[in-house]
Amino acid sequence: MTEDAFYIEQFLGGDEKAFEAIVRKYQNRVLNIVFSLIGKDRESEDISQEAFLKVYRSLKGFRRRCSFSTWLYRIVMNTAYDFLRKRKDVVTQDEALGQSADASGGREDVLSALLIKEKEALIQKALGKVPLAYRAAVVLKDIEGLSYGEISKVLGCRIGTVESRIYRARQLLRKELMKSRGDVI
Amino acid sequence: MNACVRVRKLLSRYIDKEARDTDTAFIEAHVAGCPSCKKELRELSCVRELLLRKERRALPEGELARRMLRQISYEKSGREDFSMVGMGYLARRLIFLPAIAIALSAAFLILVPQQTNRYSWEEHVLSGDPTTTAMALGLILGTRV
Ligand SMILES: [Zn+2]
Repeated sequence: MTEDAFYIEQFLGGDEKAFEAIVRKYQNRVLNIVFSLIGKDRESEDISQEAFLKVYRSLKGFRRRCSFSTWLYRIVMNTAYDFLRKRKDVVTQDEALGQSADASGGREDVLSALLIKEKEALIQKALGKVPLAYRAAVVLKDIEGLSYGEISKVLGCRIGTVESRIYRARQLLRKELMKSRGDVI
Repeated sequence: MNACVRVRKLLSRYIDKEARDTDTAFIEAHVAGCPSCKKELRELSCVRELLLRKERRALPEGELARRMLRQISYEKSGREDFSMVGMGYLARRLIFLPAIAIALSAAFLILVPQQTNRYSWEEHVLSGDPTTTAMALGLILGTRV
């Protein structure tokens, strides 16, 4: 039995403390996924809390057709999507899928400088420009470190789709980061 | 299929170390002789590295669990708590009522001429009339309303 399954059994058996253990384990993971998706500190904490509350209320209905973490991440993504829908601050597909950056040289140097300076705000801003479907895939991959198989289960799409979304997300991020090169160097 | 197109299709998996061994060998052989694919591989690897190194948020140990438990216990105590909150709100609103009454009384005292028949508490008690709101107001003002 996995650690998660153990806690869930305990919780369903009436031990409320077991749920605390689950929240403790996933707290920062969930927070970082949400923050990377929406880029707002205070709201990220609220959304994470809301997602855990949803899990708490519906754990009795968890059918174990997938792993607990997959189910948890689905709830987290949906809660974040709801927030973004309400806020209507998702960059439209058209905006984000505009012309790709020109093929001029020196990109590697720019990206290297970015690597060294770790411009957090710029990276987060660039992420915010990537359409949500692509952003979700790349966040689950590079921020949370899920495998392609796990991401396909969380997002409910084929592995091939995950693959192309991650590829597209990274291309768009490159484009956005190149745009901000003036701020970096 | 064009070799470059095939490499691009497999590039994400390769970068994320999820490519099959045969694909990995094919990509590495192609990239070694194709500057365009080599450039694409380097840049996208760089973007991946940026995200991996992105600063992570962290709340104090157990913070979200504490906030959640607070909310759950608040919701469980449910209606009582809610009505208390409602009462508190009403009470805050009602604080203004005496202030308004006092202001009105002052205005009334200034505006009502002294000759108006005075009406005392004793008079009222002796009359045996029921105490109405208007009467109570009159008693405060010392005049029959
Ligand atoms: Zn090529």
